[in-house]
Amino acid sequence: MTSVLPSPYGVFVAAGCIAAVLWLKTRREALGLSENAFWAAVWVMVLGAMVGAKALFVALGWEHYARGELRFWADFGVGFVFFGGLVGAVLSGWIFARWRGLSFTRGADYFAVAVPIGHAIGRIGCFVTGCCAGHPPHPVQLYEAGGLALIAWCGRAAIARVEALELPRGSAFWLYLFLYGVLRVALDPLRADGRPERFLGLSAQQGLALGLIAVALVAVRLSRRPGQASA
Amino acid sequence: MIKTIVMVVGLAAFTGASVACFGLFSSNDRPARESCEGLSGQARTDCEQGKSPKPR
Repeated sequence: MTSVLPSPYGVFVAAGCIAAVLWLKTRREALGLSENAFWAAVWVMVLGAMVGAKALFVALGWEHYARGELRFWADFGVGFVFFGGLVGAVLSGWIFARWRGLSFTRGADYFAVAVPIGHAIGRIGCFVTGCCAGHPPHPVQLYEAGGLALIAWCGRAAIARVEALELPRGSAFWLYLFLYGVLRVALDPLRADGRPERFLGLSAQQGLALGLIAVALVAVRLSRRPGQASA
Repeated sequence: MIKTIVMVVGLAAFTGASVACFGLFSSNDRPARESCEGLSGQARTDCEQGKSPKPR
């Protein structure tokens, strides 16, 4: 039987989640959510993130499950791909907003600060645990944590401009997607783990990051059209 | 305030346990690993060291 105590990585993931949610909680009124709706949204998105992160890991490493080297429930704690979690959280958040008649982009702007805060803390957990390591001597987890902290700061500045009606709603979220995509494209060559396959010289993670950048650019282009409300 | 505390503790337990403790309910007999190629993160580290995998 394995230890009941969570690993240091689990502690950092939980700490990151708490930090992100507590920051969001301070913006609950700006989000336009009641107390109950806020917590419902948080749980829906956390569950969506968990499902998305696991689904993409299974999709990228399906042969290990097929060969029996990994088992779904027994090894559930192994392998969560952040990009999958992001997609899962965004999709579940979008469905929740539609269901409750809320503006998705209004909430997304605030998640664009909360997510990098929590993610940065999680990356520190990666460094402490020794996973997702870079080629020596690069502590790539700390590079990413630092980049994420900077992205959160940029997101907060963007939200201030959104709240001042200088930028359309969603701008902070699109900025987050763009900057995180750039960060991952830049840092991925330094990582010592990951799959060896390349397509046009790019790893799967870099391809996903470029997808984020493309989505952000298209969204910004659409949201700036005169007379068109943001999504 | 109480609701916030309960929710935060619940989230911490859920996220922390999900990435760290699910193996608690499984048996320890594991099939031999032929290769660690393709695994990444902590899963690869543990595979190379011949240990049970941990969160990535």
